[in-house]
Amino acid sequence: MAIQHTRFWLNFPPQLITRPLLWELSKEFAVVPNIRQASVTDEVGIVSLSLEGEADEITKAIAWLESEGVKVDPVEMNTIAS
Amino acid sequence: MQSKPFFSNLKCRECGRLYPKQAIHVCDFDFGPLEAAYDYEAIGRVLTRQRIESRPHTMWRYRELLPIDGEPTVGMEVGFTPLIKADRLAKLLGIRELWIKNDTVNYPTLSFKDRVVSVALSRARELGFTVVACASTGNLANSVAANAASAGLKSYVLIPADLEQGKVLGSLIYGTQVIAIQGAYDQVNRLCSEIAGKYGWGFVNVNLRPYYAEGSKSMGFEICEQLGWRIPQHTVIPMASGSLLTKIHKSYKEFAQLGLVENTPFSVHGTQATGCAPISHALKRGTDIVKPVPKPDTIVKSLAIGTPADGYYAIHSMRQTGGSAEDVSDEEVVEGIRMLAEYAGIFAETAGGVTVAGAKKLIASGHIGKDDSAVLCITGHGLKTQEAIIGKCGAPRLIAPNIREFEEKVYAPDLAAAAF
Repeated sequence: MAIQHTRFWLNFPPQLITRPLLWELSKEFAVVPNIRQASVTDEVGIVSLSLEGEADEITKAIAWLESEGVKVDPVEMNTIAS
Repeated sequence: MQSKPFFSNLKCRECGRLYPKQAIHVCDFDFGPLEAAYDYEAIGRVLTRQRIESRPHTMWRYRELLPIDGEPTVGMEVGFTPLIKADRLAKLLGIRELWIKNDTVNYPTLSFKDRVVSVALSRARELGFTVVACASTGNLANSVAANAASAGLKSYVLIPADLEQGKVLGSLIYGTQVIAIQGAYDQVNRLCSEIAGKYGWGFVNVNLRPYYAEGSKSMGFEICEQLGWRIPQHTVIPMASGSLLTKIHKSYKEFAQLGLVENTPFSVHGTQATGCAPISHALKRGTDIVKPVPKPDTIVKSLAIGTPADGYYAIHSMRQTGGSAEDVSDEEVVEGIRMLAEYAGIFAETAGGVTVAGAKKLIASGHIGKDDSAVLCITGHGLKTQEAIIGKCGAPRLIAPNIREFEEKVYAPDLAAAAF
């Protein structure tokens, strides 16, 4: 399958801020995470992330992040307008 | 038109990198949003009040400040909606002077979205797109469908599968391709992003977003011109993604920079529904980090965006101008809709209720001075969200078909009530 580059914004809730989730992600799935921007406070962690890999693997990686409690939005955040 | 376009580049709002004027929307470097940049010096040489006033009464009378290269080709009749002095509502809300910018009567689909769509589709044509699309639950879908139909462009409207039938109808009627996607909101959201990047469509609020968003500035330009070429002291704006607020702020700055209005102090204020108020809450907390609202819970569906893409920038616009934010309960929204209808004769959708109720709170709290002047931006028609007020604005009084019953049940009680 072809390699894809997909761009996301991740929102980490406070309880996950100190956990090395992106390191775990790269161990667990055949994807290359590339952080492009990040902001961390006591209340939230926001990361803009590029993921490189096969489409199926990216889908699985996102599902895993969500199952761990990370909110994953496409780089546009909201494609669905009112 | 002009040999060198006034619209010069796309520019990253984060790092300022310049990009060519293509169907792209995110900076490759830091993923910051791209927005239109202009050659203000060139614009300043040709754009005068007289020149604007000589043109037809549409949003395109400010076309040098909108991101297209040639003449507009879609939505030629959009904009220049009424700015109404609402004296009775002003008295009710306790402010000296109040104006309503009434986009409930925008052409052709009765919401401010016609402004952004006419720019996006005009630009889509310049870029060679023959298929245009959007993902929307309401006003945007209606506007894309109608304007694409009028322009002869093929259109797709993507919606969540559980959307109410009434809202789907407002798009289907124009012959657009409506695609209902099953799945949770986040999954639908990501699929739309993937589709937008894959098939070479002009996706108005994704790859055409830098063009689309600029259309909102026309609301601010019109307000200034209709006020007699001045910037209002206060402008109250409903916030979903926060884009409209940032663009009205930009429109005032551009007019001042070009000398079309005097550079007087002004404040932009944002309002949201309490059930989904991430921007308002962040501003009140004194931060610019917008915490997502995972499950919005409000009757104001058109503003229920839990992760607002322009929230950060809206906060900065409000801070820079000394503005403030307020959020209102669903009960206050209904009260706001009724106040606007009963005291200004305008039937607005729920977002309009948010604006009026929010303005009432901002005036009461002193964020907007009682001796000041304010403009309320009303963005869509009430016929679009009737379900929100059914059963909440009274009911007809039922009488038999004879004059005695009319006198007993209507005339006499009303006469007695008027005596008090």
